[in-house]
Amino acid sequence: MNERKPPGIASWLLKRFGPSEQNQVLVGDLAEHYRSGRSRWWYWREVMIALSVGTLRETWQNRMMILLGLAVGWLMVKNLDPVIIRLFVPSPSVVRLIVAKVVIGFLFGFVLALLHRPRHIAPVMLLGASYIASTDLYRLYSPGVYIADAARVAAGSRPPMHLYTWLLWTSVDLLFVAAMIWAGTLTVRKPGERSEPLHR
Amino acid sequence: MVLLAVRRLGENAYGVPILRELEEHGRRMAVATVYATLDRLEAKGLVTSWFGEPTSERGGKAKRYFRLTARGVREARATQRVLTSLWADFTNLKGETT
Repeated sequence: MNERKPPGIASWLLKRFGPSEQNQVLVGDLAEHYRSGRSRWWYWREVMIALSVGTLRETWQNRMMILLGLAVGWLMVKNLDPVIIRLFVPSPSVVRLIVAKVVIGFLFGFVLALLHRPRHIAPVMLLGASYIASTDLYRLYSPGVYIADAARVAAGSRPPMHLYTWLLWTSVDLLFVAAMIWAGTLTVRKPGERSEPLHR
Repeated sequence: MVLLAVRRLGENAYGVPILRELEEHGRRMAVATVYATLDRLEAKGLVTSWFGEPTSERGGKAKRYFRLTARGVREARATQRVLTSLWADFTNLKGETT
């Protein structure tokens, strides 16, 4: 038997973010096909297609559930996040704030994913993407100030202070979303644990 | 095509052989898109699926087997009849370039 191992990162991505319904079957099929002589490029391409097709299908098939998930996620982010921050970070400290944001992101991601098992990845990913788009991208494009600043920096001027601030908050938000998605993937069902009965 | 590949493979119709069967007949598809098609066929009642035992050559992952239902066979035959009649006209087009 050929013991050639499939690319580790691609396999990890598929196991964590692949379509929940038949992820184990897909991982097995790709491993078997890869061992029969397929290239690493082929494996990566298959994983990327599986992730895209899986997320799109799950989103479409469960659109009401995912909309509800997004609404719940946004309620948590917008209402609970500031309260928890005020509670645990009474004095202004960037390090404390970053730790608090990561912990909150982790908790929100875990709760949201747990409520939507086995189709937990799509709502968590969509919440993360919409959060970044609505806070950081909006902050960047809305006044147009930062774009003008970036142009000035590119021309050789010193970067203004608020550009550093934006970079800091964007990094904190990215950490927040990364913690959220990571926590969401921890609720993946174990092999053999299924919500629907098998039919033969 | 996926329906026919499942029919041809009989008891051994799971992801990898289905993919190979399609490739041998000139159709390259991604594994995920084959499953998307099979799920649609299953939702229409044309195929049925079940899970096999996990095997070591697949890293301990189970296979998902597929089989045509009676409705699936009827549907395949109906499609064959339609295609045959359409292709019958095509022989009359011999020599035409457009």
